[in-house]
Amino acid sequence: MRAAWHEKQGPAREVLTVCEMPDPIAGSGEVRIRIAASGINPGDIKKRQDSFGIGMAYPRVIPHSDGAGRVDQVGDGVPAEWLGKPVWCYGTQPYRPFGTAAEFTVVPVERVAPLPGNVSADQGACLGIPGITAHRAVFVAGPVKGHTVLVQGAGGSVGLCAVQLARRGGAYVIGTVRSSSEEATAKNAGAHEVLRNDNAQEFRARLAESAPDGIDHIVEVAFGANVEGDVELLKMGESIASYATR
Amino acid sequence: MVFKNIRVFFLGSDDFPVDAKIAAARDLNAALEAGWSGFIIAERIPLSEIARAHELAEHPVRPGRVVVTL
Repeated sequence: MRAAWHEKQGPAREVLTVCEMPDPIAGSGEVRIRIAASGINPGDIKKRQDSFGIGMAYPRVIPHSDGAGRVDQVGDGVPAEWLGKPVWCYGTQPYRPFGTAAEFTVVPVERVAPLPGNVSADQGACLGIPGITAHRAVFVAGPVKGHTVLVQGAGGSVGLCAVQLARRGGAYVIGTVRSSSEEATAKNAGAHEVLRNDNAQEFRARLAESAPDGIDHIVEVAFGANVEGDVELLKMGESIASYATR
Repeated sequence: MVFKNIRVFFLGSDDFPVDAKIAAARDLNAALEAGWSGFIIAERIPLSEIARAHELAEHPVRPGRVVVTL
């Protein structure tokens, strides 16, 4: 198959190669997916750059955790109904060397979801890391129905998914953003209100109007920068779920 | 800072419980089936140009996601 890989870490142009290698075979409990689209996440870039300082996890790495395509082979113990199905997948990386930047990827079937008929492979390839992170970030402390949820960074990939999932979970959703394009993204994702948080005083005054009793749960992208303010905004005994910091 | 018995969760998606990931995939699919438009796709780059795709993800020229196509 044609695949992209790197055998050392560094700048994209210096380490990424596109070449031929043997097709993978679906093992027990796995499916093989013929990839149509491969999503890029910040974590994929960081692993290629060695931002975490842990070196190459495997001698050769095909990048990208997330992708979408069609199942073309099933391993032992996997129902044949998966064959031919359009799907999206996640977690092909890390803990496994070969991600989705290739004609084929092989992945345990529990990390595969059917791609709904109205959804493109491009969308499916983008869902995994941010969508799953957002879901956990919204619901990790319990159901949000009837709660007020603040999503910090609601225009980012995780943020916009968190807005949508919290809204569907029955929360009143307030998003914060730093630009007008992010504002449009957060509104489009379903936020009841979107606030700019670049002016701290103005932000707090507006939030006091929007949520006079305080916030029940905060989805946080910038824990270090925002934690003190977050704690002031929260009701007694409530929760913060952070997936990043600065 | 006043400590208000706040619970803090530090999340790393690679290590979420399997059940949480499966529940997330199900709910994301339900949102899409209900008409959620998902992400803005900013760039579609063929696999042969993956290095350029990574550069665009590192230094975006417009808002949205970068997808490598096959």
